[in-house]
Amino acid sequence: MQIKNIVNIISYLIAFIPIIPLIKYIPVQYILFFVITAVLSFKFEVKKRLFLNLFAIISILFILRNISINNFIIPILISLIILLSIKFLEKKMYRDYMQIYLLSLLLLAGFALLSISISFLFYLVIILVLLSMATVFLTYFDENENLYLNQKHIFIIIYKTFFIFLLSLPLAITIFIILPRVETPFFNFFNNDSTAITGFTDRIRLGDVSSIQEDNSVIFRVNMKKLPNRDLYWRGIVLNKFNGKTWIRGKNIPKGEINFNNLRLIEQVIYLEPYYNRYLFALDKPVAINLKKLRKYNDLTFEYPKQINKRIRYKAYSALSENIFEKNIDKRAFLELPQNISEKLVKLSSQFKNMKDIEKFFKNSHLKYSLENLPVSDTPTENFLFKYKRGNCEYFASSFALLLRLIKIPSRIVAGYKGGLYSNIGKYYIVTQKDAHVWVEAYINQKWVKIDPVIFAENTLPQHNKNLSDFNYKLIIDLMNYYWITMFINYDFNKQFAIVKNIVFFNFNMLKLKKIFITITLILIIFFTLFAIYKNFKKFYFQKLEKEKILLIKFFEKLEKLGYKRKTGETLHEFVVSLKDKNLRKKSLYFITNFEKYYFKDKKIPDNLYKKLIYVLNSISENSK
Amino acid sequence: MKIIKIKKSGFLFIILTIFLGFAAINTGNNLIYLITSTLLGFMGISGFFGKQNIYNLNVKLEFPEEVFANREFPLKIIIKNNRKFLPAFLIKLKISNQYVLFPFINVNDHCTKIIHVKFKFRGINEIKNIQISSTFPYNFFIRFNYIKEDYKKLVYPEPKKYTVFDEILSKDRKSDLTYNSPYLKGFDGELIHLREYNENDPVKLIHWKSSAKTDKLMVKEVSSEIRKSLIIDFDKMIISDLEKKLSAITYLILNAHKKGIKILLKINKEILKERSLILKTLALY
Repeated sequence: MQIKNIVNIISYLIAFIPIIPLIKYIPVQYILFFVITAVLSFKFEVKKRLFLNLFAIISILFILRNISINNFIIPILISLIILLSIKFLEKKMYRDYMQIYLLSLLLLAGFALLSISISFLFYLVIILVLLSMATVFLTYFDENENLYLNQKHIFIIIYKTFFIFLLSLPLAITIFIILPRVETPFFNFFNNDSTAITGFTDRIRLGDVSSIQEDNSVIFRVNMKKLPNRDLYWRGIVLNKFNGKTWIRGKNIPKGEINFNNLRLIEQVIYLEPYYNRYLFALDKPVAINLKKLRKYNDLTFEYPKQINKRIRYKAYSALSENIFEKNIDKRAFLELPQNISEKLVKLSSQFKNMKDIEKFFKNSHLKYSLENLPVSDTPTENFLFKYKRGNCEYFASSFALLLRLIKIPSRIVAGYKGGLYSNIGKYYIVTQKDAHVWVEAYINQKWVKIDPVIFAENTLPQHNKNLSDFNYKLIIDLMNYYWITMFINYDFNKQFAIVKNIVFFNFNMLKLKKIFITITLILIIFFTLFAIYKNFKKFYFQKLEKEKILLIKFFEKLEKLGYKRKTGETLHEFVVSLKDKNLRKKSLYFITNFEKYYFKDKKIPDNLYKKLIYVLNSISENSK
Repeated sequence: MKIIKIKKSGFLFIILTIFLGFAAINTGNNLIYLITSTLLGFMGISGFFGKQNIYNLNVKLEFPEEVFANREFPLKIIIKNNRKFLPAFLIKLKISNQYVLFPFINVNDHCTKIIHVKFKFRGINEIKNIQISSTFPYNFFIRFNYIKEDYKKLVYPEPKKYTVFDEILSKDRKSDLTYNSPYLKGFDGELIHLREYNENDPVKLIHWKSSAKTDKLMVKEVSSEIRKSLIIDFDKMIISDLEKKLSAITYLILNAHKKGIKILLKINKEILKERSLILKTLALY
């Protein structure tokens, strides 16, 4: 096969592969353009580059004309695809192929900016294998364009250079670990994106939409021990101002003196997906989150200094307590009522003396939990309680909190998530957007008491994550994603520092060390056994080939006994022809002609012929008698 | 002696890696870190393989039996890969300013190529410092290795036409050989033995069959008895320039051989009979 053809085949593959994951991001006409030019380039290559280059420049200028800081990755990727297409049409020399590879690699890097899924790793591995192969053949190509390699050699080259790839992997991982990390990137506009994700918001609006769609995307994963389902409330933000339709977070959060009576802390490692807000989530009641520059409020809301637009990892410590003790709070902030509060509600509240009465009212009102046919109106709480009697957690919590305020019990709304799916293998919770939830905290006897009014709903609540078997394959995929995230995506300065610290202080667990040692030895033993088997197999194989050699040696020995010795430089044929005995000459000729047919072609002599030859050899010795 | 040379593509590769490295640190994006570290990993391992690729190779040079100054001769290069695992890829040898490319030599295997070389002067000539180089695996770096072995070859003087000798030879032929020798007709007497081809052997004496078998050019030594012999008295020859003199005598010897005349050389009061000895003496004179 001509070297140019081999290089071409691999180059096409390299260019096509990063396009595949980009199909859903790039407008279809550019993909088509690429495919067409690639197919065309099979047939002809353009020698004069001027026209092509002009075309490339003009089309790229056209694409980049409306580039903006918020949307620049896609136009750049399109430009790269156009450049790649045009490269294919050109007459390709060494550097052109290298440019094709570079463009493909850049396309893949672009994909990395668009998506942080594990599929990137898959494409990266394929590209790297192909690249390592392609560059080797390209090196041949550079030496001699018209070089011809036979198929066997091509396979050996592919097979041996694959080792280069394999061996470079551990080195690459080592380098990945030790490459310097900084705590904060110098500039971070790469990960900027203006699109927002629905789900959790820092305000709760009622009465605007009639139905809510469930969103299955993951919001965060929490590495921690498994807890009973009733404890799984993930606190995000506390809202204290209500205008009749919307709950928001007031600017000044009143400060009291907070303390916990129960400080059994639960440690969690949380991997929060980018969700374009500032609030961090943790198991209810979070006491501390160890991230720098974090703002902690008295209502146990933790605010990140900037929008979370990339995945972050943090440790959180939560107390599993139902209540938060807080002295000396400014009650007025939690008793504020909407200006035009409905008369009906005021009238209703006059029947209640304490929270128990409100709970009783909720229980007896036949309220239904629903995500559809929600009351769209300007007085959503009133409509929810008296007219529609259906709503989601927001309606339940808002009405409950409002009624509490009407009977002078300070109250606030906590927004976050509830529940989650536990992966027993990965030991982590997956919390998705559809788990978003709000509940109420009431200030009674100097402590904030948690009430989740949804439990008063007449119907049973949808249990998102009950059917594990149904979810299982998703669980496995998520597990892979989780490891990918924890091992690669979130590898940062802190982890690097931790590793160094571990090495410096020999903080290894001896048992762990022993385990590692045993595994390595086992792997080595297996490797060497396989190697030995392979070697012996080879020897065995060659011994079989030697069989023929032994035959020849026997032949010479027999003739030597009869007084014929082959002179140096004499061919077998010459030697045999020179034999004086007619009978012997005939036999020997038969022997060598049959023997040479196989031996000099490096073929094994078939068994039946071998027997015949042995027979002839034996008859030669009889000849001497 | 160069050990490594970075090619243009190698520089670009390094620049790209550095650029991506900066991008990785700047953005903190681990995927870009991943690409950077793979590129670095590739660079490291390919360096290792590139270095292994040019070591543990044996180079053997085979000269023809007779080599004359200023005459091109075929030089056989045999390169053997002694390694057990790694085949030799894209090996380039530099021998007396000529490059020879061996695209692939499998493990424990050898490859043969023939180049045409010329030595300028008579006497002992050396081929020194054979350079092995390779761009394997990625054409980013050229690595070099040198073979320390010196390959020596005795080079006979350049045969130069000397018309006086032609006359002598043709006279000789007319008077004696053509008429009186029944054996010498066309050199196709009975075969005595085969030997390797030397320059100036008549082509028709090549024994093709055995040449094909042995992979070497073999010529028939025929049983013609050389009837006439000619003695050259070195000191009495009147060619003032020594080199010219040596060349003329070499020419005479070769031509005479073609015509089946045996040449003897009288030098330093000794008479040398064997062709190879005569040529050797002339080469080293």
